[in-house]
Parts: sequence; C-alpha cells; structure tokens
Amino acid sequence: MSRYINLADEKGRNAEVIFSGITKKPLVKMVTPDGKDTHTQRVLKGKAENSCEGLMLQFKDDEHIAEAIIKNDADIDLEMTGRFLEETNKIYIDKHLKPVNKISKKEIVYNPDGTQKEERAVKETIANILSENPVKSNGKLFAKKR
Amino acid sequence: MAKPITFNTGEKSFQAAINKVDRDKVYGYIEESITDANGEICLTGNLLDDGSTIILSGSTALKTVDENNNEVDKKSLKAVYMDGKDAILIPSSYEGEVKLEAAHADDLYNLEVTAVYQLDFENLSVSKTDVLKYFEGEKYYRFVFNYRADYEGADAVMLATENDIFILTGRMLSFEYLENKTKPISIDEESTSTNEDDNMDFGML
Repeated sequence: MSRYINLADEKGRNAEVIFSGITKKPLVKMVTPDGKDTHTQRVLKGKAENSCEGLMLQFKDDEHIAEAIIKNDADIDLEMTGRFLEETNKIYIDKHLKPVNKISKKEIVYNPDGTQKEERAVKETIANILSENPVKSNGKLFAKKR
Repeated sequence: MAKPITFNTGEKSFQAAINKVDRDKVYGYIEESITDANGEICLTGNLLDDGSTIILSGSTALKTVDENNNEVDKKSLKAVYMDGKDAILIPSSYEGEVKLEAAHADDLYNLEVTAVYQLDFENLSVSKTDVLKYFEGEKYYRFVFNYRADYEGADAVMLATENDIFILTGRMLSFEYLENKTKPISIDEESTSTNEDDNMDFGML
C-alpha cells in the first residue's frame, strides 16, 4: 500500500505525493547443491503450554516437569511442532499464559549507565505527514558539510 | 584490546582497533512496561491464525527449505550470484589490508547506516593524532566492511571529527532524481469569459 506525504514549498504550494523506502536487492542467494532455489520458512517450535513457563504452571516444579518430559514428551506437541507459520498476531498474556484484554502501558527511561531515570506515560507521537497542514519547507538550504 | 584492522589509504597504511558505538550507552534507553488490570506485568506472545493457539516469544525457528518445502541442511547449501555463478567469499576485514578509497560527503548522505564504530589506537604503533592528519581538508574514505568472511560485505565510510575517527557501516543507496529536461508548459491566465452562452441556468434542470 502506498504511503503519502503532504508536502509544501516555501511559496505555500502543496501536493500529496507517494513515498517509499529504497530497497536494495541482494547480490547473492543460497541454492541446493544441484542449483535449485531455496527459501526461508518460519516454523513453530512449541505452543505456550509446552514452553518452560507453561510446563511450570502445569507441573509446579522441575522434578515433575522432567518426569512429564521423559514419560509423555510434554515439551512437544506432535500435532503442532514443526508447523509452518505465516502471519501471527502479537498479543499480551498474563502469568497464566492467558490473553489480556485490558492493558496499561508505561515507559521506563534508563540512563546510559543502566540506572533508572524516570517512569512516564507512553508518549504518543502524532502523525504529521498527511495532516491538513502540509509539511512545509522553510526554504533554508544548508551546506552538505554542515 | 580488540584485534586491530590494517587500513591503507593508498599512500600510507595504519592499524586501528574498532569499538562499536552503542546508542544505548550514549543516550540511554527506554523500556515499555505492560501491565494487566491487576497491575501484573504482561508477557508478549503471538496468536496463530487458528485464533486459539498462543505461542511465546522465541517459540519459532527459521528453516531453509527447497521448492517442495523439504528442509535443506544449511551445510549443503552453496552461495551463488543472481545469475547462477558461484559467489566469491569476501575475506574478513581483519584478514589482510583494507583499501580505503577517497569518498565524498554525498557518499555519507547515501549511506543507510546500521552501525557506528570508533577507531581505537591504544597500544598501537601509530597515534590517533597521526591518523587524524589523513583526514585534513574534510576527507572521507569508502571501503567494504566485512566483520566476518561473507559473500556480501557492508558499505562503509570512514570520517573524522576534530578529535576522533569513526566508521559508519550500512548499505549505499542510489537515488534517481527527476529533473526538468523539457521546457515547462506555459499556462495562460485563466480566461474570464463573459459570454452569456457559457452561463447555464441550473433552474432549468
């Protein structure tokens, strides 16, 4: 889908123009020994229930988890593991690995030395490239070396 | 100290180690904290397209597959250029001498920067002051940077500030600009016809 930007020059003439990122095609590709093309595929390793967190919820301690893995392969879902994945949707989950519908967001700002500087509400940056008022050049030119 | 790289400007060569400039260590960083209605920290997960299966971060892997979606052992793969010819492995910048080519400020603007390195001359035979002289007159240098031996090196620009020397790595982009090669069409002032025939009586519709 094309993205637009509403641009104006210093005389106030404006236009909505399409902009896009510049892609650089790779120079090299990986092929099989007989020269056939390959591609990369995302696959599923395991569901939340089969993860460390999921097994801890089910079996409570390491000993029981180990036992479940040895007896029943509890860390693998034979139906799902290895399944090819296409699109997935990001969600937030609670400590019981259930989806959370209502969330609160905050930002924690750290100093370069890793100490916490502040906690604050998430700053919302308002889009300004396709608003009623176009992005306007002030007409000033700067030397490239600056 | 990190292993040094040998650079050659064409006239002189010098050795310098490189240290990655970590943005977080310069400016600090921000983490987003997500909590549920009870104030408990939430984890991020992904919902599969069946609408019910939840997976946690790190629960996926990337596999190389052939046209029939059969997994291919990565060790058996070979690198070729897009025309099918065998690709040539570019040695690491740490092996041999890296040739620096004269560059222009435009190269810097065309570089999509992915990493910044600072040159370090500690315990080396050449001093930073000596090397800074190679940059007098606002000189820039270009080269191909390859941290490890690979088939496609990164584009890099070396430049100096007053007291330090930096390498910016990334990929050099090329832009196609539009220009007025043809004479613009002159547009006459909008005619202000007062011909009564041009006026339509909307009341007749």
